[in-house]
Amino acid sequence: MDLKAEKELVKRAQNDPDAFSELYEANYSKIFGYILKRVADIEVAQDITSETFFKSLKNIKKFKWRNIPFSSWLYRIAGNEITDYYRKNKYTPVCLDKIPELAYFKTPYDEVAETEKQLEFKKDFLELNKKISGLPIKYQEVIALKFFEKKKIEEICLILGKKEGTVKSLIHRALKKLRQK
Amino acid sequence: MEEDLIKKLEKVEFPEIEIPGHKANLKKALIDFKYGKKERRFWEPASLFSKRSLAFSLSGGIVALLLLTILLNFPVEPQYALAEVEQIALENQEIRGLISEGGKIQDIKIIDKKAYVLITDSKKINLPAFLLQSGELEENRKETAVLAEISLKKRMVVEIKEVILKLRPLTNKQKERAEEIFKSSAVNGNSKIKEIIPTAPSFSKLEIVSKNGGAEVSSTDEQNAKIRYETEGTEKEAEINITKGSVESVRTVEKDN
Repeated sequence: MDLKAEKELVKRAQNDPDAFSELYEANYSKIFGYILKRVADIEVAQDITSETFFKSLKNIKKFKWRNIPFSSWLYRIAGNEITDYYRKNKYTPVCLDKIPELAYFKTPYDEVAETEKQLEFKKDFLELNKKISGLPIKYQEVIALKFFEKKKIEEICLILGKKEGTVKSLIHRALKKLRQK
Repeated sequence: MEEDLIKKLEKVEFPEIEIPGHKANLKKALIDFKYGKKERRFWEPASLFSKRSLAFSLSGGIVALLLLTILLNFPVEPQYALAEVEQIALENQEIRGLISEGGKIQDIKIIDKKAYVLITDSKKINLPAFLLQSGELEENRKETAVLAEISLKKRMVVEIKEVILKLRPLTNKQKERAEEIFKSSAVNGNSKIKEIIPTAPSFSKLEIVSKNGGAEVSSTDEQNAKIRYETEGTEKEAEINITKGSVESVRTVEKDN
């Protein structure tokens, strides 16, 4: 989807559920995947994903189009929630209070158990994730966006709201720190 | 060395995990929350600066207040959540067994993010032929109830316990009223009252209520009384409807040998 079409869709999504549905379908998997790679916990990833989309929908009227993809905004919300999770070492999504149905509709236990099993098989990833999660959050973010999400420097700048030089320097220092682990 | 680390980061196999249930449920819940509710908010008082008149705003406010009062007094659970609870309950083998033997789901409540299902069962008991012929007991029933606690997170029944109903004691005023009804009825005659006791709650009127953050089973039945009395050497029991002010039934009390 080009930026022009996306701009139109975001505008329509302020009042039109079909437009929001289209944005959701286009972004759910990558946002859930990003969060899961950052937290390596199925339940927490589900909660943060719910909160990310809840916050985006709640604030969609405030969203100002600056020729930045909608997904960058979602990545930024998700990043803030992940930071909150790492700082408090627990996660309590606000959306569960606002939309109690989300609690009732928790993913079936069997489905979660099955996906947790799949995650356990990714030993290399889990080992790497353990090392990365020991880094300061600013380094975790750039590593995940650059290497896990394969984002270009330009897009990382948009997501984090930082200048190119800062992002490059953060990546460099993050790799240096990671090597020492 | 940095090259190696970059290669490792680039080559690591990531979990490609999808949870379709979460994706679908989240989408539905968000759309209902954002767009569904908007349509139902007809009672919202309009802004003074909107096209709506102040009178309409006030009437909207009154309707909203009334709805709020009703909701606070008669809390209702979202129907789809209750349907989900019912489905989980019916997936349980023990509950399915109870239902197939004649039990029925009488009430479903979600209290403090926990779900409860009440199943009652009222069965006719096969009586010996001589008792049926004597006409003394037209029908005898065995009533049971179980309360199942359901974990919504695990989507499973975590506990099933039998409901033991306690008799609600009669107040002195209720006892006096029951005696008054009995004495003014034709049943009284030359009888001697032995005991005034509360009637057992009807299983068909049981419901789940919230108590101390958990669930309890309570009866919505009106409190009635039974009067045990003796007349012409026979012990009898009259069921008194305190609300209606009438004697509902009389039966002979079988003496234990």
